[in-house]
Amino acid sequence: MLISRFQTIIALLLALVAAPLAAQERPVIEIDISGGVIEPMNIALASFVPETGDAGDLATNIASVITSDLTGTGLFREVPTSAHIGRVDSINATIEFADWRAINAQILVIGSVAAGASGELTVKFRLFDVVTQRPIGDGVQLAGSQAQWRRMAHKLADTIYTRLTGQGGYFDSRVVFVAESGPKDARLKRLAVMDYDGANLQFLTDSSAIVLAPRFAPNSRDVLYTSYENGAPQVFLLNVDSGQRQVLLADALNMTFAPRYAPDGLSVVMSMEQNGNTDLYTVDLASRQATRLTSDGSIETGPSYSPDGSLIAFESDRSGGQQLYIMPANGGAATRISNGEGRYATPVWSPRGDLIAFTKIMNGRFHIGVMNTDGTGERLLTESFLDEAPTWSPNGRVLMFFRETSGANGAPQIYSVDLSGRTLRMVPTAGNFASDPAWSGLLR
Amino acid sequence: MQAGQVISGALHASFLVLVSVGILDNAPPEPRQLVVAEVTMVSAEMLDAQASAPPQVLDGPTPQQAPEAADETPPAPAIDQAPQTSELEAVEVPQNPDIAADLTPLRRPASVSTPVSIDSPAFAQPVGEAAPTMPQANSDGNERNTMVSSLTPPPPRAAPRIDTSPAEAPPPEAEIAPEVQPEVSPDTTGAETPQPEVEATAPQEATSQIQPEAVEDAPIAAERVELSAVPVRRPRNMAAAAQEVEAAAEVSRRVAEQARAAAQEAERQAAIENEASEIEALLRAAEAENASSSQNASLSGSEIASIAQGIAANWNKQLILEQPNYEQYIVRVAVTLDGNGTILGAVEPVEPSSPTGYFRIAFDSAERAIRYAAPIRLPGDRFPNGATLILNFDPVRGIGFN
Repeated sequence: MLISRFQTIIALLLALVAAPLAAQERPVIEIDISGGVIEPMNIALASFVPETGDAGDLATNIASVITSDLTGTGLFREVPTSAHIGRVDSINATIEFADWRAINAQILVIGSVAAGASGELTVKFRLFDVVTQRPIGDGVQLAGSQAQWRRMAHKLADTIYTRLTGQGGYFDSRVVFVAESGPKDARLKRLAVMDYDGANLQFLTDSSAIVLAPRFAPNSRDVLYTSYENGAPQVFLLNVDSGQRQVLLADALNMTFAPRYAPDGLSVVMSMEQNGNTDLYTVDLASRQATRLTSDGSIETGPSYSPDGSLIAFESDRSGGQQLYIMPANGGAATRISNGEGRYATPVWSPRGDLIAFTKIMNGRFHIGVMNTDGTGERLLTESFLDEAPTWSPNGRVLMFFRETSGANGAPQIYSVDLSGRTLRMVPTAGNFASDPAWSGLLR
Repeated sequence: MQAGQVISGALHASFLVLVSVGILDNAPPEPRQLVVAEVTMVSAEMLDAQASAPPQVLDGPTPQQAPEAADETPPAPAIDQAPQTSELEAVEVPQNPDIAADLTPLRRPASVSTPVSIDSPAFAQPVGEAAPTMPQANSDGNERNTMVSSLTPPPPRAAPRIDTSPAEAPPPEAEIAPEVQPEVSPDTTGAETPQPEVEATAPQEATSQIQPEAVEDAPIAAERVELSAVPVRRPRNMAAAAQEVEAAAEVSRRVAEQARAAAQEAERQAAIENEASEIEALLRAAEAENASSSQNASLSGSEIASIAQGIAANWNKQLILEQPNYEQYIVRVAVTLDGNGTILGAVEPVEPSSPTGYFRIAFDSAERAIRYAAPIRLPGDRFPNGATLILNFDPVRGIGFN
């Protein structure tokens, strides 16, 4: 008993002695933080260091593209170079964080560019948190050709974005769309492809026939689209690299439209009109065999696979108006998921799988919105005279769509909006009107 | 016939007188033993000194006649007394009277109380005068190095000679025995009551009894010396009784000593227990005071709101709200502040303890907010050493667009 008492005394003594040493007699106070602000983070890109004599312009351009990518998200705000106090002379330079903290920079990117005589290009970068004065991840080095400097810049931006947000990027991607020109009553329409930011625009078809609703294949190299070149709308396959194209179902005499690839890229789901009724079909790309999925007397169109390929969302007027439904990928009972006021069209399943984007027509106005896959949580992100045809960015954070202005001179243009609805931007298309955008996945 | 009866009666009477005298001489009553018990309370050395005193002092109620050495054969000295015997032999044929007999041990000042072995030279000096010690109840030598209290001057009669002895108080018979009066304490109520004994003058009495033998030029014959080395004649029953009483007293003393030792040990343990309890209580009180002081150092609602507002103003939730199902990315972080509100060390994640993925984004956002808000001022009078803040960052609370 005495021993245990002495043990207790010793423990108490140790506690009394150790506690002040450990905590220095500091009380613990718990506080809940609420509120906060929602604003872009200040990011500073120090001028990239040219490691070779002829890399100066490339260094400037790469830094500019990275800045544009990051600030275009709405999540970051550039600290202009003119405000920089600190100077970075090397990719391995010691960072004077106080200089960057003084200009209220929160994130700092430094980099270097080396251009080889035979056209090769090497880009390095490092990322720092100015506030915590810690590097964010290790340094990154990319090597390629000078002709690919833009893609390299996008890839660097994707890396930075991923490190800062925890999400995958979407800058190194492309968009296929319908480029329009001419007066409204005599539009010329061509397929075109460009970088997600409008750069490197290329036309894929000529304007001899009306083209509609292109869709990228999962490999981002093949494109499905609808063309009237044979008099009636038909689904065509096009290889972007080679320009070769073919009709999906050569023997079909019926109208086919609104195609979309299955996630595995091995089949296509589309609408086909037979005997005045439009239903959904799947077509195996290898055998070109079509399988009917719906047999309702109404119009079913605008199908979109879930990311796992198990479900298909589509629009139907089986209830008397345009509404959204979900059914198994091999057909079967469909479940209506849109229950709000107005009409719903063009459902597109998010790459994340959590949301379905759609076009909503209500009170004579068009909206781009999203809802949960069960129809709950509907949010409208845009509103205009005509907003239509949403398409998801590879990471599921941004939607592109086209907006057409009203009036006799009204014309469509591609826009992007993030899921918050606060970052709405028009996507440049080299002076062309543009509609029906389709976003690829990240390029490989 | 009548003459015969007279003669017979006279003879019977004389016989009865003789018998009665013989009984008194050979069979002392039990109370006498208890009287002797008072004597045995004197230590061995004191008995030695007393043995050298005139026998009549120690001899009982009847006045002691001159020693009749021829009548009594002294008991053989104990083996361990042989050295004394040899020394006595050295002075067996003294040329001069043994004036030099040193009785200082008997008159040593009261301040002398150091343990002295009976084998020590200082004790051996008066051997010439010392008689063999009385048979001890316990002669195994255990007492040889005990405190020789007898070397100190005899305490006043009023002093409890046997104050440490466990011997029982004399029975009433002993107390009323008139012959005991000169020898023992005049106290009739018991040796433990010192008041009556104050009147006694033991030192003077002892001195007067011993002094005659210390008188210079006192003629001491060799034979006398030899005889003086042995106990003076005593009744056998007296010696036996003394021995028994001594043995009993020794046993009692030992038992008492053991009991006293046990009691002392128990007392010591109890004291340690009490002391430990007091220390433990003090430590617990100190710990409670520490905890109390830490807990009592709190912030008012407005002070908490001020701190929360300062941090929230720097908390950018943009990247958190980008995440799918951002509601779940609540992080709890700990930050230690000094007295000036400066952040000490790192901002530590508490929950989750190792944030990854989107939780990492949320934690980084919280850390930036804290570092931007620093220094986070605390009331200096209550937080002189600063504080540790546990901050809960819930992105759902206060959601809105600024």
